[in-house]
Amino acid sequence: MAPLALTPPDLTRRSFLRSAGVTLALPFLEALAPRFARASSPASPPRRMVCIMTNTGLIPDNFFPKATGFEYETTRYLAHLEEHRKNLTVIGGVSHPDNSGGHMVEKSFLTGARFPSSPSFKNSISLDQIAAEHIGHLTRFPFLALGVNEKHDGLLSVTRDGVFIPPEFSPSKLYNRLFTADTEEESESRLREIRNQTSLLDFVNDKAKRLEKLLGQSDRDRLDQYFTSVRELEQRLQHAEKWQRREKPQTSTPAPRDISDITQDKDRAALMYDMARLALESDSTRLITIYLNPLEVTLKLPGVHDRTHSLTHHGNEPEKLEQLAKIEEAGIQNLSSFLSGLSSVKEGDQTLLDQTMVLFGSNMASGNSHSNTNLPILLAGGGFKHGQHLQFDLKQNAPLCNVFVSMLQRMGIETDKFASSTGTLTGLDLL
Amino acid sequence: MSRNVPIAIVGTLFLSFQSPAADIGPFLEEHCVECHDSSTKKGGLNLEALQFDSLDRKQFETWVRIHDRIANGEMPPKKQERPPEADRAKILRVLDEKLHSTDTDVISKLGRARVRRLTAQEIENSLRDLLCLPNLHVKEALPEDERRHGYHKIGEALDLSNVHLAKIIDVVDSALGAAIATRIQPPPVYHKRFYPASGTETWLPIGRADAVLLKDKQFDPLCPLPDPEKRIQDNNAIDFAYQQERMKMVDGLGLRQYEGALGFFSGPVDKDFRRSLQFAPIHGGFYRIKTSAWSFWWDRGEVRNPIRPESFMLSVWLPEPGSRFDHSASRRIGMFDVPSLDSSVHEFTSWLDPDEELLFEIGTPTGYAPKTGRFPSSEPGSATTYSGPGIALDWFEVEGPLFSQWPPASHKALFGELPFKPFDSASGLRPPHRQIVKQIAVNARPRGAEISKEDTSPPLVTVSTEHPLEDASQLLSTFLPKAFRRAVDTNEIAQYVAITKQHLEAKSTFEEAMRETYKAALCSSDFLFVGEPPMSAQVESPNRLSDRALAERLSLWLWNTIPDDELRALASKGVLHETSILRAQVERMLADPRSDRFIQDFLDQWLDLRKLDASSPDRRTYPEYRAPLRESMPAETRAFFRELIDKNLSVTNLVASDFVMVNQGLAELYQIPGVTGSAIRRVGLPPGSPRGGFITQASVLKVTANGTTTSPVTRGVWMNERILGNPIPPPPPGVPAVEPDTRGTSTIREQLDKHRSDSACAACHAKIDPPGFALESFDVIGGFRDRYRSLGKGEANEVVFAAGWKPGYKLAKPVDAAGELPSGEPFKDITEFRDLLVRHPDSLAASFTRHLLMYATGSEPHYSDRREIAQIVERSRNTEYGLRSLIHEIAQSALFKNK
Repeated sequence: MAPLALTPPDLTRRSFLRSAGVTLALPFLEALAPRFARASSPASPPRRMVCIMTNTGLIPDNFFPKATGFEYETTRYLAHLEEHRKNLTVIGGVSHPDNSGGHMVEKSFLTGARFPSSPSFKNSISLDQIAAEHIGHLTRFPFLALGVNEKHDGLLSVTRDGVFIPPEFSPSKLYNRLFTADTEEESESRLREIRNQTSLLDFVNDKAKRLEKLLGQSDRDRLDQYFTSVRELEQRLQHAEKWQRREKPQTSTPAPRDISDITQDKDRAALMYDMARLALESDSTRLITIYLNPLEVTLKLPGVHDRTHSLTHHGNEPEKLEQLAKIEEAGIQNLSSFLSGLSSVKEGDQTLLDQTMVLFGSNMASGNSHSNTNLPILLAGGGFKHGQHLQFDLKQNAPLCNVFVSMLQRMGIETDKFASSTGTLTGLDLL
Repeated sequence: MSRNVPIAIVGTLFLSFQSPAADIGPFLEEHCVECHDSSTKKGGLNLEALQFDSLDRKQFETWVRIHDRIANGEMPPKKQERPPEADRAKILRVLDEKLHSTDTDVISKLGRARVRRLTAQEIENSLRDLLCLPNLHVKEALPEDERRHGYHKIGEALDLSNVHLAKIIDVVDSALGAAIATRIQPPPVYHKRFYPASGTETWLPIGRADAVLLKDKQFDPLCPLPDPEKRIQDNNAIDFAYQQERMKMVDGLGLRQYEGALGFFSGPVDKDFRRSLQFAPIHGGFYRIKTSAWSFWWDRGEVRNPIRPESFMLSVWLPEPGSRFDHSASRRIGMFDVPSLDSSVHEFTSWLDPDEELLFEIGTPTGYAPKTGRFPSSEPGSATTYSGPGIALDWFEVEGPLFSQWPPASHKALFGELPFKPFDSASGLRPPHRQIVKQIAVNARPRGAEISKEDTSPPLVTVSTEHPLEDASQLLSTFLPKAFRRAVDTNEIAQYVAITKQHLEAKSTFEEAMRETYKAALCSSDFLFVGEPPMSAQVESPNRLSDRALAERLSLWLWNTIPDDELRALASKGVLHETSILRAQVERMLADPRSDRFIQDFLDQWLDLRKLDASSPDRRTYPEYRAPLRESMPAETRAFFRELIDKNLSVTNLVASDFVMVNQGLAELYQIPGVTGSAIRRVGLPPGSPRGGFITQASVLKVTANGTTTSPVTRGVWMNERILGNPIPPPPPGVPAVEPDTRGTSTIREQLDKHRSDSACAACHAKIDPPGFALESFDVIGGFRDRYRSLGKGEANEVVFAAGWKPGYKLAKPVDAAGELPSGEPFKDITEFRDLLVRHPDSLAASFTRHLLMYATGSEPHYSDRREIAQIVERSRNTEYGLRSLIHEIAQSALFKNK
């Protein structure tokens, strides 16, 4: 990594080729290739955060242990995470205050905004986007919003204006964005596109000023959003331009093929998890959200033959409950593999999992009642003292945002407040 | 607060009321303060902390609630002493006066509606119309708009973020790309007849005996029926060897040359039956599609006369590799009837995007195995042992792309009559970007060998001009006024020409330079924002919309797009607002097919039709829910709304009508005899039918259920908000949710009764539940029921579907659809419930007007709207509150004509 830090930012592969002549042997350039995508190597490995939500709920009895503390007896679902027991905390008795309305609450899972089902709901910034404002500029991708299947009611990553950020659904496209080097022609065309867009934004910005003069104060805030959008987009383009001129990291993992058969939901999610791990490993980003939506799929799993959504409305019919349990179990197995993957990557004397907080949960507890309290939540890795089942008041839940504040602080972001938080999560201590 | 509370506190209360307070203070003290003081704060209301002179928004809304609860007789509560009528009338008058004047003060300064950006749907429609691309799809690529009160037209909810702007730039660029012609001649017309068995995609169903070869209207033994003892496909008892053997046999039949018909059965009940016809155009355009098909009754190998008319659908999906059995069609093209053994030939023209693959879908449910829910290939012997309906496809033909002019209208919209010239590679210009034309659908036709080189890589040509800047100026002076809905002066045009110039200097072709210029225009606030005030503020009515803004509002309302030339011409003459002209324009617009966009978009929001696929009914409990029925549901509701407007029928038809707009599938669901064919038409209701009005339509009943169960609360809240005009506040925190139980042991009402026995819940639920109870007679797909369906406990049912088969669900507890309105009037079922509602047509009309105003003006409802709404309603009384009259009255109202 050291050589790259010495490379001036404008010394791109292309200009290098030009100045050195095209006869320059590639192997020499390989030596220049950064293992990390970031510009310079920090003294210690950076902290990362991955937030995952599945929107089916998790059958509470299959998820939550009966006992609290460190000595809990495992459950049907947690059994699949047994090897990571010391690296994770099961959190019960938390939810977002003033969040009810079944699926609608999906909108605020990572924002904590109140009354997501009210007719005049306005969302607020999500956990990952707050973090991106602080550390996003350090990596090629300030954050990655990923998803498996289109949105049901909401998504995870939300801008400061309360707008959902559409996720990347294709593992192969993501892989290309992460690792596939542009040809010289592609790079030039991309840079030209960035220049064109920048001048377009300059132009429309000036034009909007004409409109602004005609508007009263109350209407200006709508147009202000336009100015803000233009400015933010310009910043994004500058960021993209900077990174367009830098080499992409390399990986030994071959490019994946997207699985288009939606019934293979488990494999589709697993593939997305793999890409998330690669993105973290190459330090292409430090912030990832993964939105899982198996609701409108009939999963190709032994013993499952109904659509997940209708199974969540199981009406306590045992046969449907069993099908749903199999689906939810598959989701937990995927999570377990992801955690294993992260802990197999070494960073100095630590593992990637030690540096990566992984939040996993659902916006509903029981799909049958579509209740939004006592949410099933797991927090793994990232340098906390794990290993226990933390349970808060099951009647008067602790705010889920307290977990978020703990996570932000662990990221090194100085804050003591996020949405409905009342503090950090009691009992969740730093290592 | 009790009577003996120190007078000082009451004094404080009075002090906070200014002059009108003297009029309301005694009433509040007498009837309200006891429960709503600072210590009791019942329902969270503390009158002592409430201002009355200068109200902030929150306090204003609190007073509105106080007014409404007193007006509705909900407060003081029934068990308390009734206030004298004169006192009640007086406080309502004082409150109303205060609230109305406070609200109109604010509106006179700011206007009622905010300036807002176009919705995603409006952007799509506007681009379609501006660029003459009737089938452009960009809405899905834009972030979904947020909503308020269910509407995404509301300015306050229409945020704009960098995410939006980035996507808008993308979709504008791709729309311009689709509009620009890249060849001198139109692409060659592909014209071919296909036989269904010749496509490899049908070989799997043939092997599984989900489809059979038919020749001369008889079974063709070329592909023998399966062994009656063996199961070809099932999750458990599958006979792999036999399956392999069958597939190998099919491979060897030489079906590529087979010109007989293919008879289809429905496949498993948990999946819709659709098959690719393996045609996907490589060029977008209009295609003439012709099919020859017929229906039959299959009787274990014999073809017999069908017992009822059948229909099928053609649809498309975008190709993706891998198993496609679970993919949904992306778009339905049409439904076609095949009433008998005689082949019916259907010919029609439809737009197809490049790569959209043609699909064949079975139109009616044609089979069901009670135990497994799978049919027929998972049953032993399948087609050998099956008796039931089937649909045979003889052949289909495609011809296209068909262009009525070349270059197409979309190209002319951007480049007028400028000629094409070969691109000169010696010019030093960057060659214009060209999409690669090729077949990307696996196994679809036209195949590589059928596509000429000339077709896939035509000579590189581009629009050419000797006077680029003059031509740019000319083209922009036509385009910009349309896009910006206003006059554009030469100065402004010059600013855009400067963009063209800049790109030309950077070695772009004229085509690319203009594309960048148009892109800037369509990403500018001048295109994206609507609702600006008049350029010169009128002193006497500063909030009156200019004719230009009025044209915009009218067009976005009734066409969901930016104004056309006629509206702009009337606006620039300054006559659009005149009563007779505005009336004539509303008539013209409603008669124009573009008003379908309004009907679809408004119903998607008002009646939540957009949520039709938010849940999928449990297939074993509701096996009759199939793609064609699903397609018919919103079609009914749209046709019904259209009928109400066209015939100016009374608003009472919202809840009760003596007719429905149905096709065969819906009529079967509604148990209305004598309706055959897939076309939606007006049908009079038989006596005693529980149907009529929006509220008993399958679409509405579906969107208010979750796919498996119905909840009187969900439907009740929906009815109150959407139809009756009573917005319901969200449930207080900490109320446990009802845990539905479909094992057949208890009903949702029994579970709810426990929930409602809490007096804290009872007040709201007295309003919420009654409509929901009445609608309990309808299941999650809109079928009438007197007993709940169950897969667990219950009695075997005697039902036989019209297609001749028995469903496998059981009948559980009986439905109780009786209830009592908040007024105390009882009803025993849906019919009596509706009879109570139609007694108050004016309040139905007021509620409907309130909804339509939100959509039409893009403003949240305001308190001060009420008086004007009452006038709108009053003025339409002579037509019994006809829907068309209401639309006219809204268009002429101050609420519509003012900002």
